[in-house]
Amino acid sequence: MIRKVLIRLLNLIPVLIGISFLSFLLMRLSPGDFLSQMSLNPQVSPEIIAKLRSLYGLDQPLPVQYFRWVEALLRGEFGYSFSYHVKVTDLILSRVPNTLLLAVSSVILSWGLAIPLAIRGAMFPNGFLDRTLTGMSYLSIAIPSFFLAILGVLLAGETGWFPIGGASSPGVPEGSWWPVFLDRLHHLILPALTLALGSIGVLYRLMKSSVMEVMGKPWMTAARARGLSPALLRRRYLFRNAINPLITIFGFELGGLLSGAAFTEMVYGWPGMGRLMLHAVMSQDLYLVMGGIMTGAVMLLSGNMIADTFLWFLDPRVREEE
Amino acid sequence: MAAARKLVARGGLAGKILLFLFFISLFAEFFVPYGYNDVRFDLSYAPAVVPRITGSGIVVPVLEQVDPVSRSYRYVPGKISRVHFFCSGDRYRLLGVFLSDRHLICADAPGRISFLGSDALGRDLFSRLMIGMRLSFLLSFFGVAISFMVGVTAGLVSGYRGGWVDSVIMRTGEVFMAIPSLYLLMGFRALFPPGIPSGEAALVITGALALVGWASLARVIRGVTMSLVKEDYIMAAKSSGARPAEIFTKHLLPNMSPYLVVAVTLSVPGFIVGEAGLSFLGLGIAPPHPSLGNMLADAQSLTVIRTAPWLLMSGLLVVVLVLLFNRLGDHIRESE
Repeated sequence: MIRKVLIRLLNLIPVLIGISFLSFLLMRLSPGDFLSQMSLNPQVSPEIIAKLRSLYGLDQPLPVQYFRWVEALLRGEFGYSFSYHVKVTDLILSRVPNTLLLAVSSVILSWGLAIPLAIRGAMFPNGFLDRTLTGMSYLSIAIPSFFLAILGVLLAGETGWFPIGGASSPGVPEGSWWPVFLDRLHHLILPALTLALGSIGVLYRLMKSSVMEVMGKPWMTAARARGLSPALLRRRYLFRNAINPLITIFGFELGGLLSGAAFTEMVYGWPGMGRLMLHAVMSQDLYLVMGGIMTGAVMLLSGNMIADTFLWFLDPRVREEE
Repeated sequence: MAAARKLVARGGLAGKILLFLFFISLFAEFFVPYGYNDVRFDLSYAPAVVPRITGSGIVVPVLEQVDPVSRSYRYVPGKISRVHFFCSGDRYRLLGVFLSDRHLICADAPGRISFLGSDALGRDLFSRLMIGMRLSFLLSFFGVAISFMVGVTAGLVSGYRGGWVDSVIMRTGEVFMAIPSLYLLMGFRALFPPGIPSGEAALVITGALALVGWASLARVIRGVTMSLVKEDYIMAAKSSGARPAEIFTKHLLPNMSPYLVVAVTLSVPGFIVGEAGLSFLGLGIAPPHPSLGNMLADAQSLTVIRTAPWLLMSGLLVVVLVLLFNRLGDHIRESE
């Protein structure tokens, strides 16, 4: 197992190098940077611009700049944000937990809802529940996350059940963790639900067809014939066999989830990576955009790794392959 | 042409509806009553005014602003305007070429036909939606075409050649797939200054979306190619000295065409949503040019949605288009 993880990690190195190269290229190809915008400001003298340029190494040839950037990356330094005037690393570290919190809660919600519903739906295919859910899954797949988020804002505004904007309310007493936790949860529910509703359709359809396939297997009939209780059968045999494709697509799902999370963050004002990226792109904040792309990729790749590890533990067939 | 007819016949209801919508949007300026930037400050957030049939023909009631602050409107009692068909109205260029002022439907001077209501600047939402929908169609068709040319070529070469070429192409694809698509889109968008004109923005978005989409396609095409290359007829073609380009176009592509048609159809929604999303964030098509995304961005605040809930229609149209394309793809796949 450890060997396998190590091999996987080694395989990631060329991909990470490629990503760093791509994000560097994207930013350096752009015609303007923060300094060229600053140079339009008459209050800033050309000497200062030139000084800043050499300070950030922007006057060096491109390969030199790239290696300096990568070298800094390896030390955990993503550079300096021109628009926030703080280190990019600090900015990203302050935002990543929020995005992860949003993404993880939405995964818990969507899997927690889709899996039991899909098992129920597969028990009675074409029944009332299955047909309703299949219809809704089409809608869930088709509705863009930003539109769903707007509808969520509308819901919150009309009912007053959820707060809109930010991840916490002002005036919540610091120190006592329980009210802070509740307030946080209150802010989290709607964005997480928005994100979950968008991915539940795919999960339902995939899980349903997988459950139906497993139920048709001869060993299921054999187990049933031996008198195993349906509950035990479902929990120990059906679930563990049927969950496999869901974990396999987790990697793909995560990519969509992180993009969806970015949209959701922007509409709800949730202070995560997506909003940070948008701001960075709008203000041509070089290092922040590069750092954001790297962070997004690292989140996605780690998600894939975690999914693979899960699969290894859960499915003996995957272990056998080695 | 025959292939196109077969496609239409196989498209089912969803295909026919899409074809109809595409036709309408292609000649949108003729079918809608007003231009996309026909600003009327006195009709800000005015509700829909739909023609009705009376004894004296088809007429519309005339709307009048009561309070410019609360944006409340009332019908002027007893005042109506006649509705005409194939009448002259705002001037436009059909398909961007032919100068014309003919509209399918328009109303006499004080009256105004508004099927869905007006936006903040009093522009007719229906007219803007139809013109915005055309952008969605055209942009996604071009984008799909580009990403397919790149993706299919990369997949074919990778699967056919194998070896180090395969490794290089696939590793490159993995790099693109390892970045969450919106992050990559935003990164690519950052190549260009924030406020570029809409025409250029459309090109940039198309390129960006194609850049995001090619890799997953290349991967699948590579898999299909690798399994096809083992077939006898490919071996035969190879051993009789056919060049790779010949094998690609004569043997491989025709054999994967059923799969390709489905994949094309199912990748269109990604482009529609991608364009709408970027424009929604203010990184795409800029107003006054209508796009389904930047129109939805107008409906972000609660007060606006309460005053003019019809502004959500652009989001609904995106959902409908995506549903239809997904349905079309499923239908083609099932009828194979």
